[in-house]
Amino acid sequence: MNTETVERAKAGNHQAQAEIITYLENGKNPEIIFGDSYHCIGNAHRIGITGPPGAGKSTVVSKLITEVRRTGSKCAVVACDPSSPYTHGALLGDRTRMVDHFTDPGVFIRSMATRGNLGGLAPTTSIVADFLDFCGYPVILIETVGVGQTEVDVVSKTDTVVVIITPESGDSIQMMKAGLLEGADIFCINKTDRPGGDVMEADLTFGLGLSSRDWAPPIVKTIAKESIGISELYTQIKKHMEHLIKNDERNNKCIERYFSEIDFWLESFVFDKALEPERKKYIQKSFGEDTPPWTVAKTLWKNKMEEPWQ
Amino acid sequence: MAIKVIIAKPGLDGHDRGAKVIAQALRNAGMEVVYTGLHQTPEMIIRAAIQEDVDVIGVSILSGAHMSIVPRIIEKMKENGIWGKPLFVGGIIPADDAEELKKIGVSAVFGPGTPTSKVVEFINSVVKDKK
Repeated sequence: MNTETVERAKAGNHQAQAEIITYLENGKNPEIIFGDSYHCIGNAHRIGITGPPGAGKSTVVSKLITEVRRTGSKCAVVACDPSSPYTHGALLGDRTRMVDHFTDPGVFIRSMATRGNLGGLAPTTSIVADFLDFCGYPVILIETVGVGQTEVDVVSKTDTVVVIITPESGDSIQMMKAGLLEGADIFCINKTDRPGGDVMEADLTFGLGLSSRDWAPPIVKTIAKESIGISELYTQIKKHMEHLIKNDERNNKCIERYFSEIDFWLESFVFDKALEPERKKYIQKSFGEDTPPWTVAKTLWKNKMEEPWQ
Repeated sequence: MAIKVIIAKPGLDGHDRGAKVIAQALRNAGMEVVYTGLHQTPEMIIRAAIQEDVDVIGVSILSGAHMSIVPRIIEKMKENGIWGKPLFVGGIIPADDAEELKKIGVSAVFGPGTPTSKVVEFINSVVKDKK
């Protein structure tokens, strides 16, 4: 990686941006990318889009891009899909719903495989979002994998969390369970051309009435495929950001994100590196020499302290 | 570092079974596969390939339009400075056309009945620096 690529990326070159994202995705040293400009990060509105598989997340994202582009702003998207826990391969299919924006030079879409992370995002989604922020995208849409009830990484990594459900997503008991629903800033009931949308709305309203938060999460009904309700959804997203800024909550969000990022780096310095080719060789050699595993770990740890980056 | 591949369906035919079988096989071989969906123009495919920073581009064509579509994809790759990334084509491609496509720079052409392992092998052999 060189500074010339970084400059081209900052000037808006998609190819340079994409290459740097690959570099970051592979856990390499971000110092070269951000230099002493970390303070430039934090201007973008990071919008998390989450919900169960098949709720329409990618379609909603595609329609939101249209709304953002209507205001004249550039827009970046990070769309996550799961890596196989068996083969580590991934089928990244979110793009198929976003074809309207493929040739728009003001839109940058990147798919990310979760690479073993269980929280609904890839381990490096946050730093990739930092980088897109750094490149000057004022709006960054972050789409999670299809989630269940506890994949809530997106809550700490974004400013506004939109939870998308469908009329079939469950009854009032499902709505009262813990997890994702607690993290929602906005609810979007999608596919309301199907029966059950009103019941779902009533169940949600009941569930939300039981919680006490400053911000009462609005419920927006959409039929994303036909663009119905999307501009209302985007209005609510912007309102939420205004609320965060007005009530000084944005800063708390940023600090929370900062903490979780430091956790990420500490972990990445310490864990999960035994299978790196260099280390693998060393470990296999140590096995042959009957070196105790704790001694090997200590040596690896010492080396890591000297050079934490991969 | 996983190998990243884009599998695209350019043109008007809607026969995506082959593309999906290949995408699945590559996924099962541990690759990260971006699938674009149907009816892509060469411009759309190359934009996506750039933003995703893929190592290999694969296109599936069963409409018979390969001799007009593939050269346009190559042209777009050159225009955008990514010519040099391996490009492979799958689908119903007559042998003469396959030879022609290879002459203009296509790395491999896979017809019906190709074992998926052969495609995996091909990609592993052209993307050496990742493994």
